[in-house]
Amino acid sequence: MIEMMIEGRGVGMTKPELNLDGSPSIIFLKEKIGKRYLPVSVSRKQSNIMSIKLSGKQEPRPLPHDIFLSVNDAFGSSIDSVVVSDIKNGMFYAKLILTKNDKKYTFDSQLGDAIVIAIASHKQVPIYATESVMKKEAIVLNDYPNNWAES
Amino acid sequence: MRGEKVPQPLIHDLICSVIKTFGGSIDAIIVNDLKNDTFYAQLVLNIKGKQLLIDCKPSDASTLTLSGFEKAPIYTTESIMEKAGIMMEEKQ
Repeated sequence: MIEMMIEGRGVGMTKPELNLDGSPSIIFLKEKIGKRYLPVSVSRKQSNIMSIKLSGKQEPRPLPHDIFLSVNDAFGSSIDSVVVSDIKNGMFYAKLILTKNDKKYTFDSQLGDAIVIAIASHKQVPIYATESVMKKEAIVLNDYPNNWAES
Repeated sequence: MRGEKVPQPLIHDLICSVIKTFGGSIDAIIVNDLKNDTFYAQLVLNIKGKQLLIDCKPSDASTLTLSGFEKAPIYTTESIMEKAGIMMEEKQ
């Protein structure tokens, strides 16, 4: 398992329709030790919520991810980690791992939701990717030629 | 609502699986406030017989009940009904 960090966000060039309001639809996860990046796309809604959370703004009413965090608090569980576990047909699969009374519980989640929850929790929740996902999808940014956008 | 399977769980499915896994349930939804034309709601979460209120939007609350807590009743207050309640005309 490889620990990742959120390195940046970008606009998806291939799916501009996801990006009508200008929220970045690609998240770049970078491995903590090493140079590889994992670009993952998130939905427009997840991206909007991420923008709100990163700006520190308060919405008048709770967002779904806030409800998740309230429910998590109510049960006295804590967010252990996010794992990018698989990629199939271009879709990332993720797990959100919670701990309660020293026991781990694994939940299937959309990667975008898991990342938003990790950000919104303000708890430095670690994000991991499996080596097999990294082998399939990771890129080294230096390797990109300048004409990447044109190809 | 249509019972369609989506390839990946939605955030509401995720919240409901946490509630179910930890042995909780949703007892009810309360639409408890109306300010500047915006409705506010609370989810009544039942944890081992103890009820806890969680702030949410009415739309999120009702979506949550659709993933396994369909029988949860929805309540509102008399003052909201007075402010925003409407009468539907009966169809001929």
